[in-house]
Amino acid sequence: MGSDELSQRIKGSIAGDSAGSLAMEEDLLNVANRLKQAWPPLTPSLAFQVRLKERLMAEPRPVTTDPQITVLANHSRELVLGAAVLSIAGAAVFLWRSRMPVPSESHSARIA
Amino acid sequence: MYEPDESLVRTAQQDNRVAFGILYERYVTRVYSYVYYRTGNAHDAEDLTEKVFLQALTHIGGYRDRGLPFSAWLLTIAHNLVANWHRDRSRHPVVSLDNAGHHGGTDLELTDTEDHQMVREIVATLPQERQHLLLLKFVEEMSNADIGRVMGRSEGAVKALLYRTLRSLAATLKARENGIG
Repeated sequence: MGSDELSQRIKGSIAGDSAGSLAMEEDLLNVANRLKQAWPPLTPSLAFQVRLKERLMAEPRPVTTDPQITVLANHSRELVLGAAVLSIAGAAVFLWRSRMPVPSESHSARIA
Repeated sequence: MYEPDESLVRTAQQDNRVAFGILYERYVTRVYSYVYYRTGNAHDAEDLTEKVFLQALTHIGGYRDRGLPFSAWLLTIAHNLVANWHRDRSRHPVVSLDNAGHHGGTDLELTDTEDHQMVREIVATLPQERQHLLLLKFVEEMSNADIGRVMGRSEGAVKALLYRTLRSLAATLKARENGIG
């Protein structure tokens, strides 16, 4: 973009409410130009650019960050965990009951 | 043949590193410049630039245009990382050994003047959001509408903030030149 075109864009961008303040607009334009000159584009060192590119090419495949997939995965894990706990509890109860002594016939008769 | 960003992004989203590499080469200088002027030294600028592109690589799958160009998305990541960097520095101040602003390239050394250094010094004292605004406007040469999308503000709000910021800067520069403050 040429400097004239940028100056026009800047003027259009920063025009305030008081249209009569030409001196103020010139001041602001002056500041804008000084800002542009104070900030020339910078080039990082070639070594840095090459090293970073190599790293980006070799970086492991990103893990998906899709929140919906994350939520579904979490729920699945919870379901499996819950089923496992219930199964273990059920098995424990079964084993415990199977070890309990069977009441004798006379005992059952007395209770009845 | 020049391939537009939209096409490269779609390809990169399929974990095509060649496409991502082209995007990287296209924008590394812009991101680095932005980060350098927000941090003031080459070492941190390189460190943060690296983080910007690593984050972009991780999250490119979630990027959607919605009127925000890919370059603006990168600068949003950069802004957030720089803001965190400043916050961490304020909690654990570190004396910088690199106050001269040296960096790998020689662009700045050849063209820098005392006036440029003074302007950058004064801008560095502004709130983070205003520094972000000025860099998007005068380094990245973004339109007010695009700046608004990046900053989450209306175009009118950006224009008003820009006007107030420049007016304040003009006053500060004048005071400094007159030897006041």
